Amino acid sequence: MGLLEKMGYTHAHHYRGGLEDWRDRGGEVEGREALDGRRKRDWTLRVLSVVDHISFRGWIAGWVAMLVVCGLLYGSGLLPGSLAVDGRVLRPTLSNLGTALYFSGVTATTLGFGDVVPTGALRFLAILEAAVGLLIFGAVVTKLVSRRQEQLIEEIHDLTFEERLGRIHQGLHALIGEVHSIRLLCDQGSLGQDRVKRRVESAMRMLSVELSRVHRLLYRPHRPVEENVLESILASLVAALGEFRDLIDCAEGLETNASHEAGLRSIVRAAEEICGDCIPAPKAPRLAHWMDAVRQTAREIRI
Amino acid sequence: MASARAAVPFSALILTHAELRERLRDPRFLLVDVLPRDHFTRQHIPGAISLPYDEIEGGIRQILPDRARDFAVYCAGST
Repeated sequence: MGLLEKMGYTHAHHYRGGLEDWRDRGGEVEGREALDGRRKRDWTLRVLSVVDHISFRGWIAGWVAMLVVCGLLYGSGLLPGSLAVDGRVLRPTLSNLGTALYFSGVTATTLGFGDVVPTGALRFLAILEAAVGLLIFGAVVTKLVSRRQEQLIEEIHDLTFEERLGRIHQGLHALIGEVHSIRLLCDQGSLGQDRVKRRVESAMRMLSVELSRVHRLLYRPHRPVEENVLESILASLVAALGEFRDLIDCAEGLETNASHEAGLRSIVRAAEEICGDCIPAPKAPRLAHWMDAVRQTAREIRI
Repeated sequence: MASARAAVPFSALILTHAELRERLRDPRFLLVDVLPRDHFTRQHIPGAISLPYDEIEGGIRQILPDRARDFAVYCAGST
């Protein structure tokens, strides 16, 4: 983004979420992988979504409807074939309709007592009815299980999100401490040593990483974050940036190389993007104050 | 110190998912994918063109001679 700006492209918009966000929100993707992925996943997911879409009542009603319709077909003589009891064929009369429905129920539940048996084409209808009955039972059980699974997944997401927040907190605190002790070394004048220089570089990288984590938390949170948690994270970030600024101040006289400068610039740039008035959702003024403080402190870092 | 700010305030340059969808309705809107080329071949947002990050400096002038024109850029995500 900064590159485009430097080249004079003043209207380059940035879709921050990138491919990740696009896919998360159900956007379609093009390309070799997309087609393969879609073909492979297609029918099973479609079946599952149909199962989910139809309510429990819908499935049960469907099963009952199948039972009644098949019963009527068995007992009406519309299809070739008939039901037989003890070898005697049942005529399609109204009083035999009850037996037909009974047979339908025995078949739909796959009980198959065998006291009433179908003949002719009705045999195939009976097989079909039993198969569909089994599938419907499976669908109902699947619905129950997937509902519980969704609940579990939500709980896991909540937990990992909490952990992520905790990690950001810890990271920032460790960073504040580390930068502070490097600065003490600087005050003593030992900043020139190689091993201290390596610590400075690693601190720079850690700061970059924490900045991008906070950024993601602000712009793409998977869960709503409580404002006081966000505030304390931002406050820690300001403290970390402040310590870093003081460290750079102390290190003024020392030789810097291009990668150092690039690293510092990227930190300042990342902090710039956490600003009080460029957030997608309205937040409390306290947060806006902290976000501006982040930006302000970063600006004070001398490159 | 921080680089000089562009003419357009930075806040206006960030696109949300909904805004991008809206912009993409215009077939002339340019969407640039800065990921590596083989990644682009495997997966990209429909309508995007490929301009890997390290080729931006060389190639952007050909794709976009007009520096004041609106367009959008994306990468893998999460900045």
